[in-house]
Amino acid sequence: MHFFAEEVIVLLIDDRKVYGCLRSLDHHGNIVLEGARERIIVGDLYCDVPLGLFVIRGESSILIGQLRFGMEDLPEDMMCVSEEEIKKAQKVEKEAKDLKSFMMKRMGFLDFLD
Amino acid sequence: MLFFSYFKDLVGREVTVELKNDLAIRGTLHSVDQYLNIKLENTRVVDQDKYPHMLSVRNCFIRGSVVRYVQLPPEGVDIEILHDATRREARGG
Amino acid sequence: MLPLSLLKTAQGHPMLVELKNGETYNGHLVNCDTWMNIHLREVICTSKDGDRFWRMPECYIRGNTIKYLRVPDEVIDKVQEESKSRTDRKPPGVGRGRGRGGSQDGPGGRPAKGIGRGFDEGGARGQGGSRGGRGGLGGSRGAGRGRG
Repeated sequence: MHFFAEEVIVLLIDDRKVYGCLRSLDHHGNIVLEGARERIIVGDLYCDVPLGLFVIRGESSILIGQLRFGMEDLPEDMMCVSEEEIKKAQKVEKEAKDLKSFMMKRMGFLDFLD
Repeated sequence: MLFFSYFKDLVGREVTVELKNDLAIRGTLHSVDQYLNIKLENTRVVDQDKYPHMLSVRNCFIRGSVVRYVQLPPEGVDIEILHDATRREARGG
Repeated sequence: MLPLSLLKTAQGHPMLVELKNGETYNGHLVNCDTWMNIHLREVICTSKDGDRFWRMPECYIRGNTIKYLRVPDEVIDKVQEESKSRTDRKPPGVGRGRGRGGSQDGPGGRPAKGIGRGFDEGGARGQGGSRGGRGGLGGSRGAGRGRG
């Protein structure tokens, strides 16, 4: 089982998902992806952002996944949007998350927040 | 070295690997190396709805350093062997 | 082709480096080493949230702080060309064969490994082949030159 010259997904430590053709891998786990693109997913929206030739340092990858039939399918109800829209959605999600963690810190003793 | 050998004996069994980012993946243990990097076959993610991008992943390589737990099949654990191996390791091989 | 040889080939090309802390550095690669330490020129540094920028004539990045790098697409073709021309110049087996011959002249069998490696590298650059035949010392000299 080796994934060379195959389409793979790499999960990064910062929770990003990168697709691409696996070209190289060394014993540190450093990875080269050709034709890489990042898939940004927010709720049921997603967008692929092209990255080109991509070198990932071993320590920053979590997982390399081989894709079934080389497919990158997502659940059918997910919608592809533009980069601009996904960035906006990302911002909204981040603000909501920040607000929630702020509230939890202040009023964590109230269990209805959870 | 003990855990490396131990995991090598579990090759072919069904395990669940939980990562430090909470992602839990179930699959057949294909191989393991000295860093406890793990290769799984026929994987499925435990909480599929939360990780839609993992839907089409069938085989995967997981970095040992990001693993939090490995859930083993109960029949894969032979306590006697493990005890012996531990004593041997404590004595220095 | 290893990830680090790709970086080596990317010398002189523009690239983007993102660090683990989220900062990104855009610049031209001057040099890199086996630890992935990186020397860039004409650099623009961008903060994690992408709202602040700094220009600097050059910078040096410690390898273990890097998350990933983006390299121009054409670099991968260049690596493949380079590794191909290296094997074209020296068909596999020739260098090693000579190396083994040398070790028989040398003081015992043990240095054979070092000599073989020295020839492989030296032979690829078209030098050191005839010299190393004299034995252990020659072989290790060949290795040193091969690396540099």
